[in-house]
Amino acid sequence: MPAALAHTNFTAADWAIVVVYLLGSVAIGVWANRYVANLADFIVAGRGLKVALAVATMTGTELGLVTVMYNAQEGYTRGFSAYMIGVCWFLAYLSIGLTGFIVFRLRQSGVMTIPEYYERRYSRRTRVLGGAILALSGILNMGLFLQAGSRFVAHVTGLSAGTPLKLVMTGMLVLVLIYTTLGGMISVVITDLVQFIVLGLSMVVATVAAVRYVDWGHMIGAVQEFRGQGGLDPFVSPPDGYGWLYMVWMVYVGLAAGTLWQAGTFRALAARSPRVAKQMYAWSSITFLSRVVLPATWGIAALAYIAQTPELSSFFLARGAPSWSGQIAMPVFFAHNLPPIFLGILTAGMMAAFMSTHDSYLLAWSAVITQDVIAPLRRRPLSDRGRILVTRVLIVAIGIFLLVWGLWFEARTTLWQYMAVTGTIYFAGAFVCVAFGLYWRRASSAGALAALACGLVAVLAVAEKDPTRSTLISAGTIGLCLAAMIVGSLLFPRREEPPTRIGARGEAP
Amino acid sequence: MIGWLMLWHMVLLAALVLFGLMVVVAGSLGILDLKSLFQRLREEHGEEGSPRGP
Repeated sequence: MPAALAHTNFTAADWAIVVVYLLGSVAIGVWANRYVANLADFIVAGRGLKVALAVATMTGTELGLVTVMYNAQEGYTRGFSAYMIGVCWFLAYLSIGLTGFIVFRLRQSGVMTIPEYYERRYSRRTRVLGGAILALSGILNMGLFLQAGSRFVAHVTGLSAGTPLKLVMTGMLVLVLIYTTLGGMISVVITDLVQFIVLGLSMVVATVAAVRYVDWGHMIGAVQEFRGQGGLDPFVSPPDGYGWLYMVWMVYVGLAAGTLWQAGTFRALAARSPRVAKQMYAWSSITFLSRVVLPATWGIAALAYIAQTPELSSFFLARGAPSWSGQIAMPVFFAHNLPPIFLGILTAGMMAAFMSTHDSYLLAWSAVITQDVIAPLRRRPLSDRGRILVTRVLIVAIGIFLLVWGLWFEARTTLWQYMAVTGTIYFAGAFVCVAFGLYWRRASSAGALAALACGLVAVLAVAEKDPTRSTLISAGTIGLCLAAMIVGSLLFPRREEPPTRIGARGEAP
Repeated sequence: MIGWLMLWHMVLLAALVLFGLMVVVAGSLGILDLKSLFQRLREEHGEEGSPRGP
């Protein structure tokens, strides 16, 4: 690897900014523990979030370091076409916010997790299967967070990729575990708000700096030279572009993730009212556009910068460049070009983003396993205190899994493809189950179980090297789930009314 | 090609301006919301909150 990869403007002052910021976040989380009095406080912050705080905290969760890394990688490898993913997400969130599609009724129902809805609408077995699949998909989905975060920190700070980096990343994970297990959702909300402000402003400044540094004209030139027409037109067929099928899949992923991704949907369920939940989605559409477009711009600027720098282009643009080189292009670009102090603020924001995404995801998946898999399977009901204890143990167990998985698994496609595929394991079946459950009276438990089980077919795409095939498998899985729900419900119809009327017509119980 | 370039330029500008505004507005209002959330929790759990946690 060229020596230029190790060059950085990161100084001791930047380290000081990072350390103060991170320790401050943890202190807030520990302090918030005093306000956790029951399970609703721990998991959905007592359902007290208003619009602005809900938007800030949703952004804090959904704008993680890994988000920035995979979107920058998409910008680097796909050029301006990567913006289209942001447009798909923007339209999906805006339409959910304007119509209240799914989230309004879910919030109205008062459930804490999506599988809880399955039990109300279908059966307990559906809840347990849905909960297990959701947790599997969610934990796999966050499997590469640590690896991507490590690469960012290594190249921005100049830390060696060996033991020192592993220690820093493990230390950060341990800090997250401490404040998430103690403060639950209340600490998550506070740290998300701080991160939203710091990282949000840093991202805007960094984007302006990146475009000014390499110049918009050079960015266009680099995309045209290295990515061809597929770098501008997202509908160019693969392998040169994304193609139509990919965009259809993205719209589906946007809608399904918006309404049903537990880590984000927690915010809707924690909102003060169904109306607040709707408003939160409408405003968050801006975030979901920007979280793709701004980092993708950094990736494109990195491509332009690398193309102008022979020591870097001989590594990054060589034929045999490793698949992960697209991940480190953006951090290397920033390490070379952003001034000290600002680099420290941006890195602190990114590391806080790393932590805030981890805390929400850890809380989300551990709560799902506790509430929807363990508790329903037990003969004796679990007390609130018992559930919080189990949730905390699971948070630590998932943290250990992440360390191990992040160390040995290497994604064979881009980071985003990995995220979208692992998400589809859950979305494919869950979206069908919830949407049909809410809007189709004939949807039955058999149809729901079949749809959820068919979603597991997407696991085949996780290790797939060819992005076109993995897109086909994912899109095909969605079609399979749809068919399973319709055929299953028609062949094995519902025998009686669902336990509550929520979901059938949407009235509150 | 020019059409795509113009579109992406506008998308980038829109994302920058809207996101910047949202961070400032939602961030400021979020701080106020957070204050009222703590006020409510303090009223529910007493001045000192729940000292030992759950």
